[in-house]
Amino acid sequence: MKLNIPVRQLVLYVLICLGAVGAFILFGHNISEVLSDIVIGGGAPRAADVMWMAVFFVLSALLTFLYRTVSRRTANARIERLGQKVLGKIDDRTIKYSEAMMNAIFMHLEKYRPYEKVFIPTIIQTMVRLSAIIIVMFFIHRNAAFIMLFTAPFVPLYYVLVGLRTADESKDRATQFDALGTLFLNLVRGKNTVRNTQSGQTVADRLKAFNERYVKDTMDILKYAFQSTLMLEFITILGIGLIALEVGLGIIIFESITFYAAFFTLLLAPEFYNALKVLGIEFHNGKLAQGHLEVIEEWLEKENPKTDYRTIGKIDNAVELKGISIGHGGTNLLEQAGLAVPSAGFTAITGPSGLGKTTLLRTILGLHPPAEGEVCVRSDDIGYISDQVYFSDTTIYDYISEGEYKEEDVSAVLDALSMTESINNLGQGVHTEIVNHNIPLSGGEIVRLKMARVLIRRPQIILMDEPTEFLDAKTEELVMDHIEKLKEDVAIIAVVHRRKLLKIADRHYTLKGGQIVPQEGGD
Amino acid sequence: MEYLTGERKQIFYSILLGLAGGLVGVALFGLSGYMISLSFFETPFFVIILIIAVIKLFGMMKGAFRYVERLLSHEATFQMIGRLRLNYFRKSLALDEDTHSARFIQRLNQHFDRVEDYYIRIIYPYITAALLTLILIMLAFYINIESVLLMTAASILLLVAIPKLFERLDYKEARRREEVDSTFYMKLYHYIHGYTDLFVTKRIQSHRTKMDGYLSRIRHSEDRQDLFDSLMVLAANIIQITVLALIIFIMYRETPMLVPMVMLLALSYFDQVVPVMQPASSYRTVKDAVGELDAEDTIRRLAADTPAGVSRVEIKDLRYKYRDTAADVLKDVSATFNEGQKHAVIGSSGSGKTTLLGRIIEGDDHIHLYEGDGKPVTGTIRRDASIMPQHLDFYNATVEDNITMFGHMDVSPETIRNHLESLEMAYYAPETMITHTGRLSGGEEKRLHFIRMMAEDGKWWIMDEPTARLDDRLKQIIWDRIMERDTIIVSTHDLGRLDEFDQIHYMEEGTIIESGDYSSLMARRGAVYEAVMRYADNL
Repeated sequence: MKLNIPVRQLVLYVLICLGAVGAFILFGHNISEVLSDIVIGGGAPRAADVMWMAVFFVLSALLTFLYRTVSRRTANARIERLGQKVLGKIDDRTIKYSEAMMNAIFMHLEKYRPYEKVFIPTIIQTMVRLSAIIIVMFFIHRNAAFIMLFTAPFVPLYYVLVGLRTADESKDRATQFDALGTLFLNLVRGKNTVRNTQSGQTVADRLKAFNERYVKDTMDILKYAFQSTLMLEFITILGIGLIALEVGLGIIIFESITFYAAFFTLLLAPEFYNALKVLGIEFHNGKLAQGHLEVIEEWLEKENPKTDYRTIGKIDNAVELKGISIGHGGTNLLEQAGLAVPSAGFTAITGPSGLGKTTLLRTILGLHPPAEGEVCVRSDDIGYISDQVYFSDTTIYDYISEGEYKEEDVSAVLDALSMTESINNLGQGVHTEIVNHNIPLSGGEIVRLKMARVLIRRPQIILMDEPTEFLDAKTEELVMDHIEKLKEDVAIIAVVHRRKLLKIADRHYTLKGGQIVPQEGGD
Repeated sequence: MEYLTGERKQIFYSILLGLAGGLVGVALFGLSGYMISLSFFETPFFVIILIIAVIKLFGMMKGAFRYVERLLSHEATFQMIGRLRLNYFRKSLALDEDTHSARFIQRLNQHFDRVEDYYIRIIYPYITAALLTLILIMLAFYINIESVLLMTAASILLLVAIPKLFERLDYKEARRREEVDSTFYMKLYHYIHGYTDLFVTKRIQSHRTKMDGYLSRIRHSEDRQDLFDSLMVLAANIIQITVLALIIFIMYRETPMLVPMVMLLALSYFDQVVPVMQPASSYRTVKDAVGELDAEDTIRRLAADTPAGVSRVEIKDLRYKYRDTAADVLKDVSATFNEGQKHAVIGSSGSGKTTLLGRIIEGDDHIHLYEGDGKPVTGTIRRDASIMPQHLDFYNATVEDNITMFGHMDVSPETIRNHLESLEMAYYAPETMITHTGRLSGGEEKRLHFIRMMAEDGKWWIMDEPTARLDDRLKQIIWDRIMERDTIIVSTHDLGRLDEFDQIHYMEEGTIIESGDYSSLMARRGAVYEAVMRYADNL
């Protein structure tokens, strides 16, 4: 696994770690001196030694604190930037994958965080510790250093041989655990269908069975996975034991080692082997976290559609399309089609569903770049009355005014659309909050709200998707009245489903064979 | 601990083994320290060899203990999560809470993530560390009373005072973070769903800035949490060096030989206790999450499943309003639905059709159910009905499990395959996994749910907009199938087959303004006639 961090940062990390481990080694030196005085000298320790021992220990602790703080802050900042990049990939198509997008931000990013925050700093810290201890060991007690050098490679070797296999399997288990969690959340979310089909007991039994099977399978895998930890433990013990044996022999038989060196060695040996163990365990965690990074990277590879493909303000007509081909993926819905819409009047577009009527509107809006051809609009001040509407947490006043118009203006527009009464019926009139897309209005009234938003603004161009569901007669009359008035000085382009609207159309086009074909006006 | 009742055995053994492992680990270091002290004072060689052999044996034991204990503690956790989920699911079935909101699911998810930590990272290591501490304090009596006091003071600081101090900070930070997460979740959801509108009204940039603001608040929250953790470790380190220094001064006069042993012992003890502190400080946060999820162990079986034999539904003066709306959604609705009849409910959107169907399904004091001989039936119509609600639910499982509701309905995979084929969905097999439930298109959801209804085969079919979001050919296939049924109540905007219904009800502003059969309503030239004419005007 390659550590993906800038060199400057790496150097900084290594330096702090060196400082911390250096201070710890000096602490070891002083404590060994102190104990040697007590045990061998049989007297009181020197105050200066005890003081230095404490000073170096505290220094090591402070540097570790510094390291943790710096590395974690850096990691959090990197995660924030990664999050910003993922957010930047949101466009008007993301709605189809909103669940996946939410998961990327709230789950995968969070599960990747430990990689940046713990894995990378720990790996660096451990490598520095291992090297520092082994080098110092050569000066304290050479034989112990050789034992360390000899036993250390067994840990990574073991991980390569056995650990990798179990790592993959436990990754599968983790995925399965997530899947089980998702199923559970789906079931809670979809409890109405469970209630309606009266299948609560069956579903609960199945959920239980799923879990039991999962626990059984997982425990089988964990038996192997934890065996690798057990083996690491054994290698560690073997190493420490060997060093202890060598030290013991050195003291008694060969009398070749001082108390100072013996204690120092036994203090550092566990530090060394613990670091090795940490390396092994982190390797495994790192693998798991990288799976989440892969999901995030999938989002990052996505290319945002261009939104600046339109020529704005260089024509007298409201909209001119020249030789445009638009489609999804490889297939084109329109091939080299053209359309010119004058600066006022009502232009109707009809045609069977799925031939690209709404996509055409989106191309004019700047949301769907054509594969080829030119899109010119007189102004990018375009009002859009869409077939669908999504009210995020807002009030009716905010929705219509977008903070740019006074309350009287909003009320006047609502009055013109005969909505005053139904709005006043709401708890707080125009300031009633719409929470969670919960709109206390009828379908017809929602269409009128959308209309109100365009009426107050009076943009030069209005695009409109006529609702497919049927409206009440009153709403339809109102909408038609307003369109008739508006079209005198505004260009309105509408996807039309009903003949009635066609009657007030000044121009009528239908999509046929990849072209925008003019029809005889009216019917 | 009361949340872990079902996993007592594993927990008991894992704590026992964890304690043994911890003791052995500490002893191992102590012994090696003792060994070097001894070695310098002409001890017989075999004693040293013996000690080293014991050290190794201990080491192996520690490894083995830890192995078994990790297996046990993980098993306990998986079982606990499974049980919590099951109970939670049972409980949620009984509640009327709206579980479709994104915020609700996000909170639930967050809580379950926390619960995973509950045993493995918090309860179990803490108990083990506390027991280890107790044993070491008792052993300290062999040295002198000062060391007992020192040990007690240090462990109280480490295991109680410092975690308690940071617990409050942790709890507050977790609360704050939860709030940021929840708001961010909703804002992001709105941002994604309202993107087109935001783009058209040129507000993408300002919303992006807001989103980035949440990311940076998350970063600050993480930074603070990390700072707390690091401070806790630093505090523990300061205590550690104080203890080490004091040990020297307490012991060097009377028992100099034991100092190296105690020194290494203390270092090893701290190595085991310090990692317990941070999780311990988040105890309160996690306990809250567990408490919120843990329902009582409802062993009772869920509602019985025999059909009740409903043959008439009578609605009398039904009024209804949602909790958060001021005005009534339904006003004085009265209607009768008989077995063997086909009913259509039409009207513009927002007129109350969906609410009316919802009331019939949920049951209401003003809705009465009768058997064939006129005897009233208690309970809801669910037992006799197959239902297509407005919001369709699918689960992370195979197509077959989704259709049969995990085996609740007895239908062969062959039948399912045939249905899939006839509804032009042969690209799905019964064993296909529906992994990304969000990726089914609206039309696919409609058809899969329709197959679900055919599998359930209830006597009454109650459907909300069965043909919406389907293309014309599929619409006709679905209508053909629906019209084969005897008893249906359908709300629809698609009036193409209205003449095939026995009864048509026209709703406006929460009340039924016209009811009757097709020909008489057309002759009346009222609202239904209007609607049919307007529908015919469609291109």
